[in-house]
Amino acid sequence: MMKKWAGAAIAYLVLVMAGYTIYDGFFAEPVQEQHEPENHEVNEDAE
Amino acid sequence: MSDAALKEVQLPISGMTCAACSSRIEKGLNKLDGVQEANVNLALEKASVKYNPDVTSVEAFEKKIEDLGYTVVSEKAEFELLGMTCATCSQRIEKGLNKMAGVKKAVVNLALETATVEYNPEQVSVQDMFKKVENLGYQAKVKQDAENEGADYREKEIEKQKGKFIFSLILSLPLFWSMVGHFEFTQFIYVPDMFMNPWVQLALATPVQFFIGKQFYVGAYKALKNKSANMDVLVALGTSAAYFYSLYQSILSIGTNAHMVELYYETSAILITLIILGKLFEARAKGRSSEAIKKLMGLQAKTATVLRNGEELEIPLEDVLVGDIIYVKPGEKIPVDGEITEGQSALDESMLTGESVPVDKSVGDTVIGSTINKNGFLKIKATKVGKDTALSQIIKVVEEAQGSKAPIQRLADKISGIFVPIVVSIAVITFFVWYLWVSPGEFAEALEKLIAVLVIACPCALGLATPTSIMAGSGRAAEYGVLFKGGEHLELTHEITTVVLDKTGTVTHGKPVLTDVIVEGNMEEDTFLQLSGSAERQSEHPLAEAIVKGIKEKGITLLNPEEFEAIPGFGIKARVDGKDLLIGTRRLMQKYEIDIDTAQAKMESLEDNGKTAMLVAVDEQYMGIVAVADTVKETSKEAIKRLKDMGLEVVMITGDNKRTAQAIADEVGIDAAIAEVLPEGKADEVKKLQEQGKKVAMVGDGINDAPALAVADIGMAIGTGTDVAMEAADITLMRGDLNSIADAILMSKKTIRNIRQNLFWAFAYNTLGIPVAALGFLAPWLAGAAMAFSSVSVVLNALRLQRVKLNEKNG
Repeated sequence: MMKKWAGAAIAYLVLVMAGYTIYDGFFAEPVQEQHEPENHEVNEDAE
Repeated sequence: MSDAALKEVQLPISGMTCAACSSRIEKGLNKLDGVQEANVNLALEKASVKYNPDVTSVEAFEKKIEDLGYTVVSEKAEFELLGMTCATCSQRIEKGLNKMAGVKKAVVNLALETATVEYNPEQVSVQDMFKKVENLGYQAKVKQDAENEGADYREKEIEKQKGKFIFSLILSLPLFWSMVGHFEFTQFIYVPDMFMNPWVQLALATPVQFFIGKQFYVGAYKALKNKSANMDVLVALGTSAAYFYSLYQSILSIGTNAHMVELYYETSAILITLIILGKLFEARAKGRSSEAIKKLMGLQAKTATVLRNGEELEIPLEDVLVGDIIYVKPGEKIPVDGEITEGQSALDESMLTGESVPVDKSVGDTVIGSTINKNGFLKIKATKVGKDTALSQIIKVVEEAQGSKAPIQRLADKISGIFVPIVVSIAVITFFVWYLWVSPGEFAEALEKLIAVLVIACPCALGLATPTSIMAGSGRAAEYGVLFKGGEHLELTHEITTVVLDKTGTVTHGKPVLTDVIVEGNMEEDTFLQLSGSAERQSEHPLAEAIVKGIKEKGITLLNPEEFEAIPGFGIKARVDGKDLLIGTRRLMQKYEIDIDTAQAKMESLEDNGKTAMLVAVDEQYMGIVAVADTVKETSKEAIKRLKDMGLEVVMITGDNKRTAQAIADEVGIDAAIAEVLPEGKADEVKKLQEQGKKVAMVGDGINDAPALAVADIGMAIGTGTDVAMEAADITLMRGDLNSIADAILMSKKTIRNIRQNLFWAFAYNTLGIPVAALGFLAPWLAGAAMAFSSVSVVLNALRLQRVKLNEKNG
């Protein structure tokens, strides 16, 4: 039972990662140099 | 309507998440016509309903519970049927099964020769169904491959939750990884670009939010539909706020630098993962708190060797009938309650009474099912089987106690019922305070505070605080041979200030024995005893029986009396071996004008020592005295000292004369003895003590103690006594030992202390957590973790009661 759930999650994760890799390789524009790994913390430098 | 005409049913319920759920179901059931009282226990996941069967039915309760959005758990059984020949047979069985109380749906398949039955295990058992099928003229047996199908639904639920947790954890970990970039001190950790992408985050968070988190949405919907709110509402609100705000930001980010947006996907996913983990721990701990019942059930023997039609057969326990002669070899368990008809042995009754010393039993003695026959071969006549055995009764009492509600819980229930709407209001206020004044225009920041308040405030711990302690406490007490009939008694017992003990059968063994023989005339002691024993032989008075038994034990052969006459209140008159005998009180001797002047001093001395002395005259001449006494239990003195050390007042009450009562009281260390009390007067004496403001526990064993047991604040019945006394009492002490009184009080004290700790932490947690979250000191995911572990900590604290040791002398 546990293995089934874990397997499903890993398969899904791999699928998402593969999807992103494909998208990033073929369609995405190059990421700008000013890379800020910003989530919900306000970027003090930007301010 | 009298209580006798009311019925009671237990319904296992699934889908409850917190105290708000249980109190909603309770309210719903109590509103139904014909329901006298409904109690829902969140920890046991059971509803117990007392109702008038003429007005309402179990189906109505099931419908109500389902309307409220919960499920009444039913079990499925499949069994093989033998003897069916046509469709009429299958229909007959189907109808018969469907008519049984507790059977929801029965389907009989003629071709496969099977029956599939959906039933409430609290109302009906598979064995009951087998009996029904047999009564209809067919046979039923368990389907070989279906034996394990009825596995505990709780176990299955735990397995499912475990799987969901693993799934959720795997998808949340990359989101958690992305969080490290938020903090100064973790910024050195590498985070793959991929995990910072809002669409990847969305893809990972969505299954957690809606697939794993579906249970919270469903729960919230059901609660809101019924115009109430529970923990699910808070979780659904909090996580949805985080998820949908992030989704909105993701959409806005299209065409811009996607890495710059403020996202909260990890908050919602981690929250859900942690809450599911908390639920998982909680479910496992809850399972452990019902271990006492499982232990008790495990004590039962599975089979019995019975003698039927001259043949020795090994049959399942369920098939043993009253009157069956059962063979029990040394080392085997006694299968059912019965009476020894042949053989003698020492029996280990520790599993039921907690008493470690084996008890010697021989022909005529009663034996209790599930006790162990240590060393002799026994033949037993079954007297009680199935649900009537002592063990089944004990299991029933413990189950009922665990399912009952202690008054202290009502407050927690009330608070958690109104908690959610208050919390939502506080969360909304927090949001606006932050958005309008603290950080004007910072929507994301205000939202974060709102989520933290919503999540920290779940009242789960509050709902679990009392029932888990009651379950663990009453279960542990049962292992020590102390059976509480309900949570309220477990709560009240610790307030006791005065313990009133009945003398006969409680402080003493209740069985008089011959203690003294004084021969004063010109006669050999053996002849004196032979004449006295022979004269008393036909008397049925307990004192006469004690004399006869004592004389026989001395190896003296008794004769048959030629004449015998019992003179009630005085004694007996008999003719033995050509001699006229009178045995009895002073008044008997005075009636027949026999001079007893020389006996007075000795008689008084015997009475001062708590003995009952009887004068013996042979051929109208005083010849001596035989004295009997009820002996004090070996443990009484120590147990009474224990009670006094606990600061309790101990009083003895008896119908005996003052001198005898005082002698016994002195022997065991009781300060106050109330003597010469008529049976009906015992209750009045208890009332008098209560009028002085004392909380009284009455301890007794006989039918005559029942009124006093009922009047007392707590009635404790000695388990070796009568059923009537046990019925009237609030607590049954399975051991005859008075140490159990101190054990019961101690267990009550420890349980109440545990409940108070739990309630304190649950309240403190919520009342402190909310302002901390509102002031912005708590990140939402931390609030989620704290909330999940608050429930776990409450349950774990309650489980400490399972390790309590009671027989400490210092209490």
